[in-house]
Amino acid sequence: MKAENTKRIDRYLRGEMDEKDQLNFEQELLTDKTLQQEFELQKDIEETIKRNHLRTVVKQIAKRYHFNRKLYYTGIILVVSALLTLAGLFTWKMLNRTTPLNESELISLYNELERTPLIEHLEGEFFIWENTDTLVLSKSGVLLSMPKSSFLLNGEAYSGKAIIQWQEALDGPTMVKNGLSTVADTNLLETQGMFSFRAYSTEGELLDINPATGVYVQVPVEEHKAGMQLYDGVKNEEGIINWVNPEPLMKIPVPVNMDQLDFYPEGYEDTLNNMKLRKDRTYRDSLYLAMESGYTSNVDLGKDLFESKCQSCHRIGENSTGPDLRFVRNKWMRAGETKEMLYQFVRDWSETIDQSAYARTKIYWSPTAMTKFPELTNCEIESVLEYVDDRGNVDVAKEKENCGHFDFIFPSKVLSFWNTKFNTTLLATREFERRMQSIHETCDNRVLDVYVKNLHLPLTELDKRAKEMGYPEFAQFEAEYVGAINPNNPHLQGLRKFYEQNTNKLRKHAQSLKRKELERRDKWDQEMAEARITEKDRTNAREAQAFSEEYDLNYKHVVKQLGGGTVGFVIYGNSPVKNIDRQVYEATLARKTTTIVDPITGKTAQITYNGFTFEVEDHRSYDRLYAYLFPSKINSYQRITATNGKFDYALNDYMLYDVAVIGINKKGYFYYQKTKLNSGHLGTVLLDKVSEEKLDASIRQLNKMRMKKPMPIKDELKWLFKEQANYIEQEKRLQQTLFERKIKEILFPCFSPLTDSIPSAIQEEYGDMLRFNF
Amino acid sequence: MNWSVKSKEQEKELRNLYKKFPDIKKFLLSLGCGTDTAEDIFQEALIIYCRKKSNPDFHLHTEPFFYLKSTCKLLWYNESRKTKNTFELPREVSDIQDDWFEKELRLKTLENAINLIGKKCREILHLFYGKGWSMTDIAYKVGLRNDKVVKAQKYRCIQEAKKLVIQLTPSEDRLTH
Repeated sequence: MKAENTKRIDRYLRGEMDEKDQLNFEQELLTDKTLQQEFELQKDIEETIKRNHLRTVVKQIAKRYHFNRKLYYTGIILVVSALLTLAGLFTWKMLNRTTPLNESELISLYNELERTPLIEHLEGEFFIWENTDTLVLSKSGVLLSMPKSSFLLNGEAYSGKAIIQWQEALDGPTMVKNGLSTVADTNLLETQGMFSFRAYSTEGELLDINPATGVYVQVPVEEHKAGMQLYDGVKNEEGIINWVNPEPLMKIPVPVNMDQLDFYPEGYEDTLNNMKLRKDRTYRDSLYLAMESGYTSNVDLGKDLFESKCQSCHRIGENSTGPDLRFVRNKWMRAGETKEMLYQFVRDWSETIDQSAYARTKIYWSPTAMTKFPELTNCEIESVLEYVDDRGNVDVAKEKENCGHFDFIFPSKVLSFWNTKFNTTLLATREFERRMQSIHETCDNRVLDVYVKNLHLPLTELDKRAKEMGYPEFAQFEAEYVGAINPNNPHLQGLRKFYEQNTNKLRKHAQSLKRKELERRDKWDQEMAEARITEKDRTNAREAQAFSEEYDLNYKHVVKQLGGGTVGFVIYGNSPVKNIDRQVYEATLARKTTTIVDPITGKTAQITYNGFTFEVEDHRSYDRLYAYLFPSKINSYQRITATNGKFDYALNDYMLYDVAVIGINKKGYFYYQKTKLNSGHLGTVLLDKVSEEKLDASIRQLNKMRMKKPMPIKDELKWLFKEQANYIEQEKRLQQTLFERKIKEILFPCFSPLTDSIPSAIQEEYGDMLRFNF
Repeated sequence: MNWSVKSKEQEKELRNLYKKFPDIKKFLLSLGCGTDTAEDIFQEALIIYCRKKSNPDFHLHTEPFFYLKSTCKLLWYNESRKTKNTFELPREVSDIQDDWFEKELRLKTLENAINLIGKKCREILHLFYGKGWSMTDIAYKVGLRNDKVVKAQKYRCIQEAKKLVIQLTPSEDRLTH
């Protein structure tokens, strides 16, 4: 059997021989039996090949037939799961089964494509795309999302039907069976799967993927290994695939329900749990929101600074200890001074005397020199002046630089997106939950906005932007290469609007609560101040009355002792002139036992004061300690105070006294009384706890019983009770401030108690109150 | 009629005929045939039908479905005769058997040899004889330099096929009539 014969037979059968050769060959065929046999065989082989080819055609049709049947069944299964999860799958089912495609036309194309797959011998799948957003799931569970206008034909947008040829080998056995290589140049790769994706027009032309739209392929993997990358497969001459151009893979974050995520700053929940505070979201959210009280703007900062540093001497719109601060900047400017000079004046006025004539006029404004504030920066001073000029017009929405004071991620912003409305977005993922911790640490609201306002972008892109804003710690997130969720979600625009509106709403809510509380405190403080002023007036009047009454009493008593009638006076040589009334006056004032001699009659009279002391047991447990003395012969009463829990007073021997001791602390009132005394040392007395009503009744009773028309004590008691209430109020405020400070330290990583001026301001006030004693 | 139109029409018809497979399968199973064998036989019948149809002398007197059905029946008896020696061919079946059918069976055994030749060879031969592609197209498709190279390659492939057929097939089966 010669190769030459094969060639000749074939040429003869193809009719490629010229006439002469043909005749020769036919001649030979008649005589040469071997050639004849070989000729017949070759004809048979030719026919066999045709038959064999037909067999492959039939086999492909069989495959297509079975594929469609399988498709039909999976279609049904997917409809069930579509009801549960993705509506998009339903579209696929519709496309493949219920839309009558003129499939017969496409059969040959299918077959053609099936014969020329990218990965040979690997069974593929076909999907149909009709220039609508299409979502399909392959046999191995790869999700393909092909949005509208995904494909280009010769560089132009392709709008017809497309056939997607899909091949996948996700597990080792499939790869090995099909001889797929995992070689990148000379290195072996570890692989989690390979696929080929090709789109054809109905005419069989290969379509390009539109780079503007892209096709989204989501491959399930057993395990997301760090450093997994996407390679392009390039076939070499032997048909072996070489994997090149690695690109990092985007990891798809898994959406979690918002309810299960924690966007509070780290440690907030733990701290509240340790403090045994309520656990429900509503309480914790509102507490978190309430902490948004700091300086959300320069005007806010100015307000705080004014209230803590200036208010004691300056008022807005009127002069007081210091001059009116309103429009002070304009005044200085009009006088030809610079802002710098004004700032310097605030920090240390003494340094400006030599330089500024205008400053010199202000230095002697009042005998009291202005306090120096060397710690204030220009920005802070400016913010105070801005607040002062613009009072009542505080625009809380202004987000300015805050003069370098601590910034923080606004709770209103966090609570705005921490909402089930944001489910199935990037924000409702564990990945973002971790980033949120770092966002809190930046204290930069712009970083948060980058994430919340770009929900259509891959997370890694947002990490990159955060990094470029000057937060290199976000590079580690960027390297995780996490992708997007539902970038085509039509609600994203609406969510962004919701975020902004809700943030403002929450912020206004927080501000209004804060404002209400501040107004309440202002009102309280004002009432307290008024109560104290009236109390002071009343006390002065009472003490004056008490003195004059006791003087009258003593004088009458002295006159009686001296025998009544006219009381004269005498001048001895160089001695000072002393009237009897004068002597009585001095004795009463000093509360000292005094003997008075009538210079004319020589009779003597005596004013006797007896020592009266007692000590209150455990006096330190009381914040206020008063003793009231109710004398039997004068209308008014005395209020005396203790030194280190010891009372020391002189009682007039001419009357009897009822004594009532009152102790006040945050637990309430404590009381002790003793009647009919005019001298003595009571030693240590023990106060008993009483209710406000009981105390009120007891004191009134004492006052009522001592004489016919005693001085009313109603107002005194009212004041006393007010002081107690104020004590509780101030204590509450202090606790609240300390609590806020503690929570803020946890909530806001940039918060430092040193830069926070509010607590110190309140502490001063509270300290004043502690020192406030009579 | 050019190749591609012809093959498209053929495929369309095959696809429609394949939908009848469940009926044929039921029929074959009733004759004692296994499921896998049933599909093989059905595919064989489709091949025979297509070949017969492309023969200009062939005139179909019945519905293609009935032609397929009887061909399947014939093939199945033929198959079972091989495995069970005692099987007696029913009268009406042996009547249909003719030279032509014998030839098909013979060519089917030759196909075994074709299946053994190299992948690339088979591709070239399929493209040339089966699809009627030009040498130039084939060269492009299989990645050979030009049509001349393909031609030379084709000769070698036929040579190889011939060798394999001689090796594998007993001479009496190989010979025509």
